[in-house]
Amino acid sequence: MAQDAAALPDAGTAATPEQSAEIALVVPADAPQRLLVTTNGWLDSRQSYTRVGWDRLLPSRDVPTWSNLSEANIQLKLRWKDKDGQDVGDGGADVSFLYQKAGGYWTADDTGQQARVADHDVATYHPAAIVSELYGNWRPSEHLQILLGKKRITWGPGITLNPTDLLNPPKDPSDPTLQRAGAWLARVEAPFEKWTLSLVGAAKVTRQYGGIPGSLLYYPDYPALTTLDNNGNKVATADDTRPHFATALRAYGLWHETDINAMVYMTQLYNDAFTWKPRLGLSASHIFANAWELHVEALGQTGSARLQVQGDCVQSLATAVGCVTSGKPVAGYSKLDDGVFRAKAIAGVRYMFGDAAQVSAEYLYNGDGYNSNEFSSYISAVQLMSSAARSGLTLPSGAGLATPAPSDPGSPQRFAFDPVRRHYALLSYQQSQIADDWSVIGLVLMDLEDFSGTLAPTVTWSAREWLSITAAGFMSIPGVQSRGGLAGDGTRYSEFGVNPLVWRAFLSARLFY
Amino acid sequence: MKRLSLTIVRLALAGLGAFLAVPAMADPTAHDLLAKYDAVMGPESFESVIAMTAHRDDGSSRAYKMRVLKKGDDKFRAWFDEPAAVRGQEMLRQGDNLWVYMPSLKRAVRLANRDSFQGGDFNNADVLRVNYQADYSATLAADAGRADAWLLELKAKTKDAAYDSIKLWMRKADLQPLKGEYYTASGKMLRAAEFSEFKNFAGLVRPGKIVMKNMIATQRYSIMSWDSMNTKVNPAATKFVLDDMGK
Repeated sequence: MAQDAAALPDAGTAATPEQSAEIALVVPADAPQRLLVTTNGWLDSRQSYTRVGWDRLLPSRDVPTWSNLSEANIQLKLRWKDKDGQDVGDGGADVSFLYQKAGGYWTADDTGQQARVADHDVATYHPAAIVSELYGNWRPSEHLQILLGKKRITWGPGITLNPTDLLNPPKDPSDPTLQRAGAWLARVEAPFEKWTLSLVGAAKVTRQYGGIPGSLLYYPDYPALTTLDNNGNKVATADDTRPHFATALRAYGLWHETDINAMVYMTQLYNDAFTWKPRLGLSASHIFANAWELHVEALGQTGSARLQVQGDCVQSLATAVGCVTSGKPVAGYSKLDDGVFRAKAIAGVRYMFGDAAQVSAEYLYNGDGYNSNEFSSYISAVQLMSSAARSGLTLPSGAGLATPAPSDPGSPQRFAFDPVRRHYALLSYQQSQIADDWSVIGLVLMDLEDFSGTLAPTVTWSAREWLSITAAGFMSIPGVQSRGGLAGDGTRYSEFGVNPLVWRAFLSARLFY
Repeated sequence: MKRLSLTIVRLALAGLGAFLAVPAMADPTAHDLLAKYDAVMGPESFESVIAMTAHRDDGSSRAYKMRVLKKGDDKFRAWFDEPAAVRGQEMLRQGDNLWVYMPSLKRAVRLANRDSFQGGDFNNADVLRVNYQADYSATLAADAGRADAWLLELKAKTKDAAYDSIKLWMRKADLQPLKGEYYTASGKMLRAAEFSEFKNFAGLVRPGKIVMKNMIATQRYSIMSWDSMNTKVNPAATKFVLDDMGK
């Protein structure tokens, strides 16, 4: 016979006299804490060895054979509560101090033979302070939050790449823990139980010293002949008086157990050459059958901020000189405002095995990537610039599209992935407990047009609760050369086959506190 | 004589009072027991500090400490404080949705309920989804070996339930859970739990300790113990949304 649950002995409060003797009374604290502080961080030492591809198309003179990276990281999180225990604000900081050393440089000499380059100063390996995050977030009401500072905000569900992420420095898909940096921004957010509205304005760092920003939004008006662009290259700034910013309006909804984001961006000279450019982003993520996660993330806009190379100008040094003397641009942003709609989209599936292992497969369509002819022109330009560099000439800005150069100056990256072609596959496997305290990660990133790519395996041993040892590799896959781009001298090169890095291995010890 | 009469009256009243205070009760139904289990193990709202120690095959162990917050039947948050390597990690459950926030990536990703909880012998649903009434249908069964306990047999009724079936023993005297066994669809026992060290958290009596044994790797087990539990909290619903993770 059914019985009202309320008529039963109340399991939450009642106990027999015999049992009462064994029930411990836990006395609650008198008053809740008003300020919660969490600190953590690590000390990390990383030794890297690189097999330099001195004979590859891209110059290798700044790629060291060995390097050391020592990092001291501190992360602070603050949370304020009112007398009723409700959050009224929070703040956070994630700061790293880096000391780096590197050496053992090689290149090809004029005769194409391997030649040693004297150890020299490379900006990427300077000591630096990295402010990945530093922000305060005020909560005047349950449904309103105002954030100011540097914060990494990622809305899309892509595993290895987020096409809709226009705010942050690009992440390194082979080592995402090294890319925690956010953007300097202000955000007003209205969170509700099933949906959220966010309005964000981000300003580009236009000058920085050792990782600390000196100016935002506008380039400084005091004499500043050069600054660093996103690839760490020096560029002239004296005539740039325009603001460099990105704004975003984003709506999030949890609809039928699916995370859905819709984003509208307006960007101006923020991370690319677009001025006052509207873009639309969409993403969705859903779990099926308690094991499969499907996601899609897409960004679309008219025009392309990709550098377009005039193929007939880069067939040889003579044709390049001819174009320059006749006033014909060798390269430029010719598709910037061509009105053609282009999308960049990633679609993927992730299977969770139930033992903390997961495998993911993603396909990336890069709508503004080079077609076969454009890629050949690009390769020809790279070959010309590489020859010029080997002859002692300085590479112009933007030449490093496929190089492992950092996209966030001062932030250490093993590999910055900027897809230049149209079709890619991204596969990853992660087992966080292959044995007690052992985890493995494997990542394959492949250009589906020439099948070149990279392979990045990582093994981590958590020797103690406060110590982890990581061994990681990074190998370039040359791909099918015959499917690569045709250079001016008749040689074909695959996208990742031009990379001056044959493989890299590193060993890292990280002490957590 | 007058004093004797008074004593008799007092005794009679006391006896009547005792009779009225302990009404005769029928056996509880499976549904009632399940409701009681949820009331004990997952009160409507609470904030707790929980410690978990995962013991492994080689005799070594890993200790975790976390703060958890629950609201209603389907909202749950967990913040990890120890060890230092996972400090800052967070988990969120809203309905059938589960996310984990990784501070090293500064982002949250979706998880499946069946994943193991921090590599220990609990799975995510054991900790984050204590709402058996929603996930299982229950029947009362007999266990001749445990006359002091009710035996509940639970069968999954949603695809999001963590187990295909569960056997649950609840003490007859006060309806506190004593023991649980968790099975796959093939009938294989995955885990076995023992509930003990009952504590009174400002009026709420519940087990202060759960030992979860791994029945596949039988040397492995995890212990979860509750250091505090405040059921007077009334967290805002916006604490349980994806965008609140990492803040």
